[in-house]
Amino acid sequence: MTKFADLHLKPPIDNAKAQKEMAELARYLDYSLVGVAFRPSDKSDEVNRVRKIFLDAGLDVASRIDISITSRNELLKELREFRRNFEIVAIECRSTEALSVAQRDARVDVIYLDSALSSRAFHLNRAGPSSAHLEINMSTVIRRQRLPEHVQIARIRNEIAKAKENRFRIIISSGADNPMYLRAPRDIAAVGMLLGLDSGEALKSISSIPISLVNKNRMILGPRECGESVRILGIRDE
Amino acid sequence: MFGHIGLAEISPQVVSFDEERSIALVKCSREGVQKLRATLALIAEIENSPTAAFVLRVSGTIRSLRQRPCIEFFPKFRSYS
Repeated sequence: MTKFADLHLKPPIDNAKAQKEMAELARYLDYSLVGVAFRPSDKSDEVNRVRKIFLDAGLDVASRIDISITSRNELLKELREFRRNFEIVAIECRSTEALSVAQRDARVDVIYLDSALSSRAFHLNRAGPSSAHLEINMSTVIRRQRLPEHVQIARIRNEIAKAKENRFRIIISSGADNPMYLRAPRDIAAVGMLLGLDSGEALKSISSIPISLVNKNRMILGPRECGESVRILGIRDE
Repeated sequence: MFGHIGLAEISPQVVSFDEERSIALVKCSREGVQKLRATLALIAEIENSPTAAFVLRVSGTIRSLRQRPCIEFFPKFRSYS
């Protein structure tokens, strides 16, 4: 049976009722893994409390940090500080310089361009062995932004086409900060097909691709990893 | 979303609507299923009220949708702005 994942939920940190409703709805809609986004300023006890609410609803929870950057130095500083503390590091690039650095850095998991879509087109261009994924948030399409809906959809379609050309893997998430913006996985896949993915790619973007990203990071961040591509298999007592 | 041509291709028709549970039974062409799903997923408001539409089940026959209850329990939630 296909397992589905939504890697971008942004429950309000100070509203336990909204968090519980989002968790119950996500579970009902058949998600098995969710990525809950926190900000750098959130306290660890708040983070643990929110995680517990989602875990109690029967979901597997991946912690995620959303970092919004405009420069290379800002990106490198944030990555040094947060990479080992979160299972998913997502970068919102607000400049071409930041995007250029983010898509080449192996520590970046997800790149999303929500605010950039409303101003000008940023284009992905893979030039190195980065494993960054392009994320499309449904809430960007659903919410009324400055641009008309058809212009937004056209920009997202262009970004997806460029990402496919440059062999970026694509993830589609809800980007929901509110239960009203959660959608069922197959409905999100249908929107993915509207945005230029074929049916197989659209379904993978909400299932196997996000799940394998989280599993890979959990292995890397686990206690048995002691360096790049070096893992302890066992310890022999002598 | 898809214009008049798209509307003709999808041919959506509301067969029945349960007002108490807010569940609609909608018929469409086989080729239009994914487009209809996408359209429903993109609904965010109706007459200035925040709205979310979920596809509960898809079947080839109306009879099978009527025979099995679509939902026994749907989580309650509301909009938080």
